[in-house]
Amino acid sequence: MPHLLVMDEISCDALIVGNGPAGIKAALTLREKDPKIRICIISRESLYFYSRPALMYVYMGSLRLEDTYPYEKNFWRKKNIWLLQDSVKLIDPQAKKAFTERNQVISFQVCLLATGARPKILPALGEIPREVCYFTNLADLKKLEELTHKPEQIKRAVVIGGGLIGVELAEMLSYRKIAVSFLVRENYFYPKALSEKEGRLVEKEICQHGVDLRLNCEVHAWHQEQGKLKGVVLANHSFLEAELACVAIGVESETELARNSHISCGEGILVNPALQTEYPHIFAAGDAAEIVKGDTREQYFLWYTAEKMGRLAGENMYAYLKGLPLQDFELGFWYNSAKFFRLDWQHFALFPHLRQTEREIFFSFEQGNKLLRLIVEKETISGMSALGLRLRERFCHQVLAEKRDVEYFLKNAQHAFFDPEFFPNYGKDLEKYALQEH
Amino acid sequence: MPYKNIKTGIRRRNILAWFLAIFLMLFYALLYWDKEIDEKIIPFLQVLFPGFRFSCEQFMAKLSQKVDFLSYPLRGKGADKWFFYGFVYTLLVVVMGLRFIRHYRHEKYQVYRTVSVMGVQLVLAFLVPSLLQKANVKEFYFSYFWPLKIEYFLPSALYELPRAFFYWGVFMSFIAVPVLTYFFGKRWYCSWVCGCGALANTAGDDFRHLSTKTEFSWKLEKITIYSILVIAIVMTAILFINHFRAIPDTFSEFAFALQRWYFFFIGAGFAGVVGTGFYPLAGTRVWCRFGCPLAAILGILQVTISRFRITTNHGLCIACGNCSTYCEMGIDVRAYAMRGEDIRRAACVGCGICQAVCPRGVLRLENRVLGLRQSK
Ligand SMILES: Cc1cc2nc3c(=O)[nH]c(=O)nc-3n(C[C@H](O)[C@H](O)[C@H](O)COP(=O)(O)OP(=O)(O)OC[C@H]3O[C@@H](n4cnc5c(N)ncnc54)[C@H](O)[C@@H]3O)c2cc1C
Ligand code: SF4
Ligand code: SF4
Ligand code: SF4
Repeated sequence: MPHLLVMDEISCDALIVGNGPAGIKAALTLREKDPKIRICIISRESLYFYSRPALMYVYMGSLRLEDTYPYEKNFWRKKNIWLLQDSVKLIDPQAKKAFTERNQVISFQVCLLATGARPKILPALGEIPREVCYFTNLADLKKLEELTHKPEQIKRAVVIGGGLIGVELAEMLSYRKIAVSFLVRENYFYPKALSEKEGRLVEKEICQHGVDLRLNCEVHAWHQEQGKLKGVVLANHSFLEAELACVAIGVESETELARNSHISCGEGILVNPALQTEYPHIFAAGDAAEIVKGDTREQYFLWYTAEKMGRLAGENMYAYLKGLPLQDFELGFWYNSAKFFRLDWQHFALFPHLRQTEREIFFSFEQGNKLLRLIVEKETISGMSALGLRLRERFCHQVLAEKRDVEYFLKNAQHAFFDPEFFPNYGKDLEKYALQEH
Repeated sequence: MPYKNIKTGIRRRNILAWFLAIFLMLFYALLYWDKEIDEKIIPFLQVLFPGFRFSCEQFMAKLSQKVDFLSYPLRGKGADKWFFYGFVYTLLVVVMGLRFIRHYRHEKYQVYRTVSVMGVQLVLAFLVPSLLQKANVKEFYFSYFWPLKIEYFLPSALYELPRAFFYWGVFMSFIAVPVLTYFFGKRWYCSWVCGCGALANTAGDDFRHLSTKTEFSWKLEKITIYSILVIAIVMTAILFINHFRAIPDTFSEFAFALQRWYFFFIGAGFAGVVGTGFYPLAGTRVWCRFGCPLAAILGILQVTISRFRITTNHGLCIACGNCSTYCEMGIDVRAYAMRGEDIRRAACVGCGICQAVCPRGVLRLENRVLGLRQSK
């Protein structure tokens, strides 16, 4: 390819594509292992690592974008990590070169694809009006800010998709005093991780904040007049007026770069448990990766999972460069948390989903406005989930790691809670609050 | 989480914020130095603008008369500028405190501690000193003590203050401070009692995110705060030595000059003019962070003997930055949360706002030690 000759060529030892938590953790781990290795992070969205989950606070104005940068700007210079803002278009695994949109060629020894995730697109509902937006990156934030610049002109917005980002959107728009209809396909809120009791409590909280929550509700088509969104047609053929639609029906791995480069992909970029793609010097981590372990395939779309994979990717890239043995990814405990308007949710468990052999014990406080759920296998605790309450991570980990039973939990329950001082500590006589099983 | 828009308006150091800062600084300058300005600056201005006439002292006296209606029943005499200042200060703490409580009404820690500082300010720092004057006793602020209120443990206190008050101050400084700080950390005073903290956390709440978070500021803070502590201790020692020597010579002249210098630059200049004037520009706790000698002592106790710390649920942290942004002491709370380390910092005043604004329940202020029981 003769035109390559006019391209700028730069070289580094470790090239990291994507500056989310996975890419950043990998870079910092590499730097910790080796103060000399030449590290380059290239990312298209932002030069600096920012906290994606904090986008909602930037929208609401309670944080400036710089506040969401976990590291000061000059931190990267001090760590001697080279940042570039550009989009990688193609990777040539054999030649160990990456080609970017701005005609840079970057040669590398090892490469990490930490390209993150992109929103799932609603299945074709005809031409998509401009007033339909997603919420996963800075461009989405900018678009949403523009669309809601004059909130009083929006009579109603619909939020489509009952997940964690959906609730955030409902809260963000309500905060701007925009009436929101929140369309959820499932028959209760977030069955992916919540039990029905918990889902109902979250629904109550959502409704209390003036959101028009509709369960069992799917969108069938956009309704537009002169290219402007005027409403949505629901699956039951009823019509809902709306001037703005925010879609949050989940995310999927960003695999475009990997596919263009002929690196095998399934749902995500396929990697072995050591996070290597079919090319042993090219790794993938974070939301972008799909780990193949024997017959099972694992994908995670969380902040801490991305960070954890990133750390291992950093270690393994170093080991690969030095010819040392690589390590396999172990998720360890599973945790997740969210804030549904004012309702805290914290979940610690051995497994992401409830399994057939597990049963649940519920505790209910303050007329059912706060819930604690213990997940139990035989007598051993395999998970705990709190809604409206906070749990102490160190205690929960200890219970899980030491395979403690329910009795131990009840005896030490005053240490299980993490609510701020002056909140009642229900742990002292937790048994009293147990809900009868039926 | 209680949200505030910090991206526009006065919360973003706009022109209004600058005006407010200048206004506050001017007010403090007039309050502390009205006579000095009349003597030194006004004549100079009169040379420049012949016919210019102004007396700061009279101006402050006139202003103060506006609260005579309160001063007579409370103190049995007319208002002076200090009474006026105390009145405005207390009013701000109470009114803005109510506003603060409304904003953080779901956070019990915030509600309780704000009620506490409002009560202390109203009763111990306003009503009691006034009523003492009415009873012809020396006015005394039970909520302040050495080295913040440095004159309560200087030789002058021995003959100016009733002995019981003097002992109260000594008890607070040397017994209450270490004992309470051992159990509760610095916060028992800085976030539950102190009037300076009270103003910062009520009237100043909208400016707390303006505190600087640079590494330079952390280095500077260590130098300035401990220097002022050393100066305060050395000055106290020198004044006592001078008192017991009781010989008027160059040493005693130096001792009194030092005292005047301390009251002028640190007491009035730093704590007053800069400490409050900088609210809209550099956040609310400039004095508490860079200057207060009591904070230095409490801070040392906090990182050495105290049981207080902020524990983290590190795995749940999403690195959003709410905690660090709203920490008025400029502490990088997020860095600790991301590493999963307890926060034990001398600067932390235990205001608990990081705990209140964290959207994932990652942070918890605590003093208790855990003891786990085994199941059979
Ligand atoms: C609104 C929102 C809220 C969230 N809230 C939570 C939460 O509360 N808790 C939680 O655990 N998780 C949350 N998440 C998920 C979490 O943010 C992600 O799991 C995490 O950011 C994944 O990290 P990553 O490093 O894999 O990728 P990302 O953070 O997605 O970073 C990937 C980066 O790669 C760049 N990139 C992609 N392709 C290219 C290319 N070809 N060339 C150059 N650069 C490229 C992208 O621009 C992007 O900046 C939330 C996500 C969103 C969108
Ligand atoms: S730092 Fe000093 S002035 Fe500030 S609240 Fe504490 S004791 Fe008061
Ligand atoms: S660390 Fe938290 S409690 Fe301590 S001063 Fe900062 S915001 Fe307040
Ligand atoms: S501790 Fe809480 S507020 Fe601070 S960065 Fe983590 S999630 Fe955000």
